[in-house]
Amino acid sequence: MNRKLFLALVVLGLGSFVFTSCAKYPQAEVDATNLTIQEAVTAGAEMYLHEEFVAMQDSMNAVMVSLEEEKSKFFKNFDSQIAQLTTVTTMATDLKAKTLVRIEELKVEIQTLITETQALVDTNKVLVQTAPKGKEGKSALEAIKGEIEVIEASLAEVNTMFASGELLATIDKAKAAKEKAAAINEELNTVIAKFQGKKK
Amino acid sequence: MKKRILIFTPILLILLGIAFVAYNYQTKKPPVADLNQAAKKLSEAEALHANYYAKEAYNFAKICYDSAFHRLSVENNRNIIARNYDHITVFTNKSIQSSKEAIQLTKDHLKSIKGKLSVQLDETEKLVIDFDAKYKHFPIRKADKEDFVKSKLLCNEGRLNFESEQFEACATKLDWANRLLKKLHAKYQSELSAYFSNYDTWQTWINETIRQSKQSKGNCIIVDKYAREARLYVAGKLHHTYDIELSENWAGNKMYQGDKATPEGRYKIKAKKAHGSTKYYKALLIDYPNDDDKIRFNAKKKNKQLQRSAKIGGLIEIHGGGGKGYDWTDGCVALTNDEMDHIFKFTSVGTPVTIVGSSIPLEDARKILAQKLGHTKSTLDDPEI
Repeated sequence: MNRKLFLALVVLGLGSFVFTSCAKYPQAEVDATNLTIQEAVTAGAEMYLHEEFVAMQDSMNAVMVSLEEEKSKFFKNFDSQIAQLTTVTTMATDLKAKTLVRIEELKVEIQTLITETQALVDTNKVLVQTAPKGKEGKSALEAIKGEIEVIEASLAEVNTMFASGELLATIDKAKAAKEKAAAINEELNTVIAKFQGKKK
Repeated sequence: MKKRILIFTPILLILLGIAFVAYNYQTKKPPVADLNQAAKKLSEAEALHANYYAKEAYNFAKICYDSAFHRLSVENNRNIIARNYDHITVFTNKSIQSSKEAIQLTKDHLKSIKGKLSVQLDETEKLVIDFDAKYKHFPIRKADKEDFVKSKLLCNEGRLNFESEQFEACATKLDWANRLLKKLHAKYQSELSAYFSNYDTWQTWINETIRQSKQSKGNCIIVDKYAREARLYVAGKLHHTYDIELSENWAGNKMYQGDKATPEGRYKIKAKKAHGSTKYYKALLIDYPNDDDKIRFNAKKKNKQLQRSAKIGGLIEIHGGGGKGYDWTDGCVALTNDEMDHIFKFTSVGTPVTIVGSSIPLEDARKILAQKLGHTKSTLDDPEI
């Protein structure tokens, strides 16, 4: 009888042990998700896709709370949390990819702006050369040359900022330089057209 | 009986133990809802960049949330009977409260900074427009022209930064542009005021010229450099107004040959050049230098204000070829060819030509300009600039 009782106690004890410790905390999955999130951060997701980044972090926080909730239970089962971690990992992977795409888009946009502005500056320089010389156009052309020099200086700054990776700050500067270069181009064409009109 | 008691007592104790543990598991539950709410509020704050605009409140909310989460983890690692989740709720409540505060502070700050920057942007753009309008034809030095272009670029960058909600960058650009523009306004305001110090003399010349025109029933021309107009008077009455173009250094009296200034004084037409005898369609040569010009020139040379080799110059004309839209002559007054035809008919050798800086005081000139710009109160009237 004593032996039977001892056996029952052992089975009960083992059963409790099995039930309470069979589901292990998914530390490996948590680490893997955090690593993917870190990769998205390194790619610049926080800066370039802020809202999506915050949403992803929100999801991760919810999963972490859910994990702790599960940890507090007597009968643990982390399957649902593991599935959630997989979702967050996918989100982070997508975000990293999207960030890289956004960065490339910005780079292309800035490069296009730089090229277009440089082309306008070059055209303006040619227009200045082909504009009427002598005293009649000299003062106005000198003023325009000064403006072109300022735009070139601004363009040089844009290139430096672009090279240092300050993409968001660079794009507005590049846009402003292009706007000004385009305005000068229009002004030059108007002046030249006016002069040519006079010649006729 | 004793044997039964010995058997069932441990079983009862174990069952009671299990019941106690089960009761604890049932009653001691982590405040998950609170934690989730705290995390949500924190995310909401972060999405608004509260970590930048309301750093203190946001950081406190984050610390409280992290503490709550850490506490939860610690408690979960403890024996169920020893677990206590009360502190967690305290932390989550503090975190939620602080996040709310950070969100409100951020919203207030953004509203305020947007308002301020919007006003600053308008002001800076107005300064650009005003400077452009006021000094469009005023001789501006090369370095200042560059500063003006730079300030326009900065203003544009500021506008783009504002639109993309990069408020800090926007503020920096606008501050810089504002400083440059105010410096330029102050500098040229002072030069313009100094130039207008001759206004009384100009007024005397104009009155005398018109009075003589009235008395002799003859014609005369008044050239108003600041207004960029030449006015034809017939028998003392205004008959026609012509738009004019001048030299690049028109603001000031002519001092020497090659200074690209248009002389100021009372002159007469010395010769009329018909089409074909001048490269500027038609021309009215005036008798610059007159006696006053010669006295002034010699005095400056004597005082060594002018180089010994300096010459007084001449060949100042009212001629055609104008209508280019900018100042391009070497000191002459240019009209369009059509208007040259018109003025040519009303003039002869000896017709008085009076050239002045302005026919109206600076204050009136400002008001006219402000009206043209559509401002009820222009920055031109601002004593600070």
